[in-house]
Amino acid sequence: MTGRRAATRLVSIDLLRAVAIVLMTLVHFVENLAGSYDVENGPFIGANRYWWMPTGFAAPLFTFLSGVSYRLWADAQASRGRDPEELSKITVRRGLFLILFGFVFNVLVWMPEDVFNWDILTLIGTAMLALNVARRTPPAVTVVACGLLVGLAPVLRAVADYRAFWAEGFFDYDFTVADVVTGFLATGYFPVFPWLALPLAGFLAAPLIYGGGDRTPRAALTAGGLLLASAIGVMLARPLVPARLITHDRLWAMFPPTTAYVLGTIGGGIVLATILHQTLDARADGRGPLLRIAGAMSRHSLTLYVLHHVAHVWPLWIAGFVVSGDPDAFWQVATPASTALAWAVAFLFLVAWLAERLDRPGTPSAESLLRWLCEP
Amino acid sequence: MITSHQQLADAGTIPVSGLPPDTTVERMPLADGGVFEVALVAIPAVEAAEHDSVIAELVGRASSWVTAAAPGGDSPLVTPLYGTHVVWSPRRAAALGPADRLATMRAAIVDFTDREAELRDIERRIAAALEHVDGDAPLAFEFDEQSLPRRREIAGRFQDAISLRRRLAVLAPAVHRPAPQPPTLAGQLGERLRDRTRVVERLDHAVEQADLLERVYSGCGDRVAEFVSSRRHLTLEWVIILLLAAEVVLIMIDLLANRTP
Repeated sequence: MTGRRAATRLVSIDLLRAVAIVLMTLVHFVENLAGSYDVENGPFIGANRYWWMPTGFAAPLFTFLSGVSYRLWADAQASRGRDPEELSKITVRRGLFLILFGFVFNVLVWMPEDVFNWDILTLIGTAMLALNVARRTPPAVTVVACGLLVGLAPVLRAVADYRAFWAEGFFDYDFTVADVVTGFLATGYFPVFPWLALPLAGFLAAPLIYGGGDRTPRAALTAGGLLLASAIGVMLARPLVPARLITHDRLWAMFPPTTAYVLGTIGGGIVLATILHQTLDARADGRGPLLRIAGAMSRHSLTLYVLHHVAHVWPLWIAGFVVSGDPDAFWQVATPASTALAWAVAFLFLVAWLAERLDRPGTPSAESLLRWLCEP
Repeated sequence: MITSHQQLADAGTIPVSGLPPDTTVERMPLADGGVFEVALVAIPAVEAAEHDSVIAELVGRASSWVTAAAPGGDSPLVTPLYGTHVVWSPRRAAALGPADRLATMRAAIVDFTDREAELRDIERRIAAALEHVDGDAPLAFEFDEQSLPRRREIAGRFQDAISLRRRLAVLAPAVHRPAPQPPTLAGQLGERLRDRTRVVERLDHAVEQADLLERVYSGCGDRVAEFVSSRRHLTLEWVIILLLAAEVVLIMIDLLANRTP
């Protein structure tokens, strides 16, 4: 999504982003096609009823990497002497594009009434605007911001009555300013509190992970380890938390994102990125076919995000509308999980074939649209 | 700076090609890490008619020996004085004279070479430091976030500049010390060598250059300190803004939640 040429990309980041895309595809196909299949009391967010599904890892990894990629891009541009004002313009344009794109995506892929569900695209667009500020402030400020985002999130959810917005098993809001703003800040799918902490954490961690030298890997691993330990500590301290602040029965959950989940995914992201950087990026023997495909997927992650939704959600709406006049008719009840999984795997093979073709000059994609609109 | 006579080592009689067999060669370490050798050659007693030719031949051989220490370098200085001769280069010297004067000549040569080596080392370090001045000078005017990684490097150069200035301050009195009165062989020899190597002028130039370095890196240090201080204030201001924003968000969510039926 940052538009860098293949020659300057880091294999480890491309691989992680491709893994996030694969996980997201598997989870979304199973969740949307089979989440409530053959069972009462649905819908089930994140396909949680299937214990073998890798739920809850793709989104934090992706948002974390958005901050990492932005930091690497901004530092590279600054080292080439690019004007800071120009960097700000590009960043703000990208952020506004992603927010608008997120609204359009919600209307066209989900339903018009879901325009303000505050999904991941609007989060990353908001993150771009925040990262532009973070780029120009001392790192300590960003650390404090992350702390406030993570620490205040449970309080805001309690004040806003998070459960009321998720009574149906998905984010359900009224078309009022109050609900829309509350959803953006605290109760949506990916609200600012605490999800904005992930790209900001990626922005802060990037120099530790990719800065080079002998000491920075140790610093990155220490930071990641401390965050993981903090996550465990938070889970152990759960009995001490006031009941009013608890909006979920589980210690580790994505909806809402529990504090342990946020800390653990940030820490895990740092550790994973560091290990992969130390093992993969130093190799000079080029990319094998798998890593080439991963690189192509990573370069076109926005396009693939849209396509994977279109590939399984539009058929759902069309089939539901045609059969019963209700587009929602088959949501989460269309197929067994095994079938949904098979379709997801088939789609991923299609993605592997498609991704490198998207690199061809002149091929339209979401990324080419973003570059055309946002870069000078 | 080493003192003249404390570092003499390996004293003894070492055969020196082309010079009389009783020539003594002594060694001493220099400020730049090199080694200085001084050969003490007693002029043999000869007939008056042969004296000049013998001296000339000895001086020629001594020059060859001295030159061999730095092939391709400058020609050694040859300084005749009161029936003695000194052939000098920064790495080797030969003192030729009556046996009873060699100790005095050695002391003067060692003393002078000690100071000259110190000055030479300072000049070399100043030349190396001056190469960075053009690149670092903008930081003496303005220091920004992008220059932060260079903070330690600039601090190191500031320390080096101060160290060079200190060494010059210690060296200057020794260089400018007037010759003893009434004149002695050692005093006259030291003055002659000092004049021929232009040590005084070189010292003055080195002082000017060291002053330049000190000014530039003092300016850099001031800008760094100002930047770090303002950055701390900026950080505190931003933290306050963030806390206020968090408070606003909390109040807003509370108000919105209370408004929602």
